[in-house]
Amino acid sequence: MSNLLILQHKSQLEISRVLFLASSTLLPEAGIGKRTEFDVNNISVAQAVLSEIRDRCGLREGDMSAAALSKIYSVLSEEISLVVLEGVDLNKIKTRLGNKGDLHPSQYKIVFGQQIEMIEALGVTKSHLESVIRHPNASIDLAPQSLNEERDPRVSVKVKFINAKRTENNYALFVITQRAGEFQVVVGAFRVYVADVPLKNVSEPMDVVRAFVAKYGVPFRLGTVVSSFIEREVINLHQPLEAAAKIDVLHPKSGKIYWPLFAGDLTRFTDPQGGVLGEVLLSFVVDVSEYIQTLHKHNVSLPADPEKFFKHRPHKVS
Amino acid sequence: MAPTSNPADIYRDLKRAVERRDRHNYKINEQKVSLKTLALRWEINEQINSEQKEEIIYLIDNADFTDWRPLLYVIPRIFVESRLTLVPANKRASFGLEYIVPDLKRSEFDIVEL
Repeated sequence: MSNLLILQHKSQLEISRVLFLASSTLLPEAGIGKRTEFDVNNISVAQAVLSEIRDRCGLREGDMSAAALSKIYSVLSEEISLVVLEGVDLNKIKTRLGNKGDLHPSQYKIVFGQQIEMIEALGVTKSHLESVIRHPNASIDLAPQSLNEERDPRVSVKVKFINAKRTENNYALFVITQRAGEFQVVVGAFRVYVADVPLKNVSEPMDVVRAFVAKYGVPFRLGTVVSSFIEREVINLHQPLEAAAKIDVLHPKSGKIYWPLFAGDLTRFTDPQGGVLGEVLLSFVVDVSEYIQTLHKHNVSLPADPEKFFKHRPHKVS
Repeated sequence: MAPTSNPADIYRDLKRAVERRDRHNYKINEQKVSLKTLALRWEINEQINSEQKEEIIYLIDNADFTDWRPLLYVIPRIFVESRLTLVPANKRASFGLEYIVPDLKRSEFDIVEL
């Protein structure tokens, strides 16, 4: 399909080739990459396309001013989109891009999952979450090494630095989400106060998470592994995922509340020694009781008994 | 140096265009059609498939205006000296020397936003 008369009744492939040729003759050629052989039969059609565009825009032949070229580029750009996206389901493209983490942050729809009560109980509001997801200072999509596309939990970590009125209350807010097409499901969010956690050497979002876990994380057992922080690691889970992803805190203290986070899934591999292999993209356990003390110290507005929101909660994120 | 290849002029022009959300800016329109043409070329050369081509076109059509903001790449010459390709005189914007680094890696430059 094309709005240009010269391209009416031509096939999609022909139109595509002609538009490619027409644009290539106008654009600066940097001389990078593999060159493409032009079909000589299309050259005259490409010239006719450019003439028709000039006519339509009221430009004289040979006018190569920036204003003239801008108009021609604009029409060519629209024409390329018309021919490439003709008959294509745009929602499918959006879903593919969303799953890959390639949509612009403003194009994702934010979903507040079952963890939102806990997140809000720790003083992070929905508008805070939206601000971090839409306008992060830094963001990373955790790419699995051994999980196929269907099993990839599609986890993203986004960080935003927030300056408070008093510098001792400055903090980084990191948000963990799972992408599902054009949706981002919020699964966790924590404040990392600069006054309490060393953030001087952070250079990427996972550095912020690591620094947070170093302060508020506790050792736990997941499958055969004992750790305070598991990141992009293939481990033997010994048993089916549903049971294995249950995270056991080592030496839990009576009266303390913990929040275990887990993102991962089974790989298609089995351990020759027995057991199933899973890839853990991210797992840690937050000592919520200690974290709440920090929030109180920084005068964060919290509900009267924030810990009650953590009782009877499942032990896994995904 | 011609204005079309003067980094400072290109930077200022693009920055102004993004701030004003100028849909008719020459450089932005050139970038859009240039990226789309590359997608067509890559598909013709079988470097990408048709789904990837569609995704590129969709992303360009739906890009946020801020995606067109100028970035200044600071490339220490020492890392790329041996791979610098001199642009032929007939393809330069002016008499000044212009170079291409066809395989520049992310670790070889810093990005500056003014």
